[in-house]
Amino acid sequence: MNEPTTPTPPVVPEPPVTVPPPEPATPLASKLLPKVIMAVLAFSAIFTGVVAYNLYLRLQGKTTPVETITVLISPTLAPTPIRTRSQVSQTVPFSSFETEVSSFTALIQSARDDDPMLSIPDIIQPLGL
Amino acid sequence: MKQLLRISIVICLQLVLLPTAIFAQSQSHYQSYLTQYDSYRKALSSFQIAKNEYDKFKTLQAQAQALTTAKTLLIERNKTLRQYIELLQNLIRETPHMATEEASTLNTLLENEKAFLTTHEKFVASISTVADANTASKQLESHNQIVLATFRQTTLSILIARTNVYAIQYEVLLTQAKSLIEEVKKEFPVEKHAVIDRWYEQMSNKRTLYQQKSSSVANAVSTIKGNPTDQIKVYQEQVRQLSLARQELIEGSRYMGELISVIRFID
Repeated sequence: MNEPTTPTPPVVPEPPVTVPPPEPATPLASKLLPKVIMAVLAFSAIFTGVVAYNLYLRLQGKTTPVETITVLISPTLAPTPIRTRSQVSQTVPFSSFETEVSSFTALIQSARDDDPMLSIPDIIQPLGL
Repeated sequence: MKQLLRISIVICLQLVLLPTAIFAQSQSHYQSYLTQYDSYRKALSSFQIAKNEYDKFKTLQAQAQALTTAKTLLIERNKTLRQYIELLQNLIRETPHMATEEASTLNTLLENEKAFLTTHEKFVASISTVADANTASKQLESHNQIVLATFRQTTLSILIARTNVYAIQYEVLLTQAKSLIEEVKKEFPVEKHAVIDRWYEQMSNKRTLYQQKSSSVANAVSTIKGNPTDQIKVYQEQVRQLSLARQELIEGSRYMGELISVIRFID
């Protein structure tokens, strides 16, 4: 006896899955490169600007404003005021008087009373014989 | 001005030459005195040895030796005193500005001492015994106070005269200062005149103080007499007073320096 058989659905073959091809790995350097270039360009622009500005100032005869230490020089007062010599002090009698006073002072200061020539001989003693 | 300059030059020469002149000639007399003093010391030493021998043994030989050395000692002592008198007479001659009367008085006193020593010398020459030697020695011993007083009076007078030399120089400087002040006053402002006058007054005061002290010492010369201890006290005190008198002149000369500083600058 033949048993009815259930018709089996026809096997539909699955459509082939298309796998996207793997993306080629981009290196990190290539990612940073544009940024670096931008930074370099920006720096160059700033640097060029500064240099150009300095050149401009130089050409204008101005220097870059630098913080300078200002030393205030206040003139020192002379310890002894400048004095005017009298006319008399430039004469010969004055010089002569000055010399004589200093000679006299030296002479009198060196004077002594203990001259050995004035030492009295006290020799009269009893014989004691 | 020219006269002032001439006076200044003369004073300068005096200041330089005077002290050397004072002592140059006295040196030879002093050397003779020192030589004689040395002979006296040797004689004294010999006598002391002989006397010790005589005191120990009392022998005739020791006695003769003691007598001989005693006689030599008395002769040498006499000579030493005579030499010192001559030295003092020479110093009187060489001391400048000693009053003639004073020099004459001192010379008379010293001549009297020389005369005494001449008599004494004759006595010593005639010594023949120990008793004679003792008597001769006592003759001079009894005269000791007078001899020493004469010596001290003379030396003090010489010191006064030497100090007076400075006073004379000071007087000349004072005269010069006066002339300079007169010149200066023409140039200086009136307010400075008072300062200059004050210095001059101080200098003059010092001269007066010197004169007072010096006169006091000169008056004390004749008070040096009596026993040797009293003589020494008076003598030393008067020498001290003389030193103080000289100090007045030293201070006066400092004031002269101040005056110079004042008149050097006009402002």
